[in-house]
Amino acid sequence: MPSKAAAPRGRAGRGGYLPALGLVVAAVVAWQAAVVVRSVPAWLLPSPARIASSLVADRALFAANAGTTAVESIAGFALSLVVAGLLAAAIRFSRTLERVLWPLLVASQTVPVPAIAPLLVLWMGYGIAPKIVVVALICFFPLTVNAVDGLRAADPQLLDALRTLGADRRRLFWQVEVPGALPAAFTGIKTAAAYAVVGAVLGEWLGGVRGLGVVMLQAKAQLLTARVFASLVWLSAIGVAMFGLAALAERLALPWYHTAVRERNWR
Amino acid sequence: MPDASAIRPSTDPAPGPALRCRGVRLGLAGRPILDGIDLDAASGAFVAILGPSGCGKSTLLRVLAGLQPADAGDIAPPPRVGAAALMPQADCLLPWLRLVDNVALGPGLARRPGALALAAEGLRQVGLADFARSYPAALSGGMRQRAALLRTVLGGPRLLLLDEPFGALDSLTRLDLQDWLERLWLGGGRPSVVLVTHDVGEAVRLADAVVVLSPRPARVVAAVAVPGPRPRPAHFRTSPTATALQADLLGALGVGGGA
Ligand SMILES: Nc1ncnc2c1ncn2[C@@H]1O[C@H](COP(=O)(O)OP(=O)(O)O)[C@@H](O)[C@H]1O
Ligand SMILES: [Mg+2]
Repeated sequence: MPSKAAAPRGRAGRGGYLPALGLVVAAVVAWQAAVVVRSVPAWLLPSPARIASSLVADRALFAANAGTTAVESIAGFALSLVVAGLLAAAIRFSRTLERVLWPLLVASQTVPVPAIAPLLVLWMGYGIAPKIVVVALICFFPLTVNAVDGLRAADPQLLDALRTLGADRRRLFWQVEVPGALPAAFTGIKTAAAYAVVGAVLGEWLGGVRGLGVVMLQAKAQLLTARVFASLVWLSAIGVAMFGLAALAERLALPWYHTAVRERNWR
Repeated sequence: MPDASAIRPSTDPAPGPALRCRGVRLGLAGRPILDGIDLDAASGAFVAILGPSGCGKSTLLRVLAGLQPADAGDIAPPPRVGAAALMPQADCLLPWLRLVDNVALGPGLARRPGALALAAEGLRQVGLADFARSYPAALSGGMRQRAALLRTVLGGPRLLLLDEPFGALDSLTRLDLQDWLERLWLGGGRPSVVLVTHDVGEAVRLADAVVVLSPRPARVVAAVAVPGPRPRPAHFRTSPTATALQADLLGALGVGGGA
């Protein structure tokens, strides 16, 4: 039935981001009130007002370090995307590779990245390289699993029909399997884009001289708790921006998909 | 109806190959599906296959297309993927391509020049010119079927395997498209056609020969020739010959007072 239920789920519908914004405002007001009323010390839990003033006062510090974290996040994400794409294609093309790589891929997720990260620092030093690798490791699993699932989802009847019309393996891959895998792949891409900053901060915590993670550690050591929270605000801003770019890329790459979803909802 | 010869399915003047099946058997998942199928189609002939739902008609087409090897039996010429164009029962359009690009895929894969122009002209002929730039998801099942049929015929195959191509169409459009398909076939170098249908009238209207299959596992229970000129005259559907044949075929299917 064509009704309000037709608004696609999972995205901000026609109501926009107003409900989410309202919730944040309410939480901030409650937080401010609680801190003031119970006079919580600022080093323990700073009020939103203090965090805001840190954002303003320390803006040069944040601007100088946010760039490093953003570059690490984007570079690690990009590296992971390339490797995940190649791996997913390899798994799709070869049953043997699938049998060898798929269990390893799943097993690799049981190794905690924070446990490997110190080794990366040991091997690669305190520069940007180990941070990029940590980000890539964090992004790798959602990217690969979703890409492989997407490639596996190709309709065998459709592949067969095009084979009878003269399509060879390569054309089927590029014209059917890859475009068909994109909706699932973008689920992984959006997930990984939002996670990437977590990897960057993790890398910076293990040793580094620049980045929001370093700012956080130093602020914590000096009990500048408002600055720790302000760093978190910056981190989420970077994460949300990366997610937003991924979602935008999805909309541009899949005009047909949104038609299909809209149609399904209207039936 | 527009001139079907503008998009002739084949540029090869020789008619399609004669088809001969003897004792074709197939089991799937431990169950017999095809139980010794014998089938003959003369060069360039139009053969219709009738049979109850689930009897194995689609499976037989997959075997003829070379997608599914038979367990036993002889088929000449031996099925080879790419030698016969299959239009599957589900329309199988690519959701990310606009309708005209979906249709152009057929002639494109067959390396026919001017694939896009052929697709656009084809869409015009089947009444879909206004939807050339739409995505398949925005169209009705009948519209998608017409596009899938075009995609299959425009590659110019020598052997055409059509699995209930008009199943989702309303009855008026269906009659129109039957006429169109006959003209396309006659004007386009006469590929051999195997058409699966549920519709006895459609089988008699289009085919030179009609084969009736039993419920699964499928065996041939009747094979009748349909006499008459080509193209079939307008009154052919309601002619005594056609109505008598339809009654016979319904009988062979076990419907309506026949044998
Ligand atoms: N891949 C398969 N594996 C197992 N059984 C199948 C497979 N494909 C079709 N069948 C079975 O074969 C029978 C015939 O199917 P089908 O050829 O689609 O029938 P029809 O087209 O005549 O309706 C059905 O009972 C179906 O369940
Ligand atoms: Mg069928």
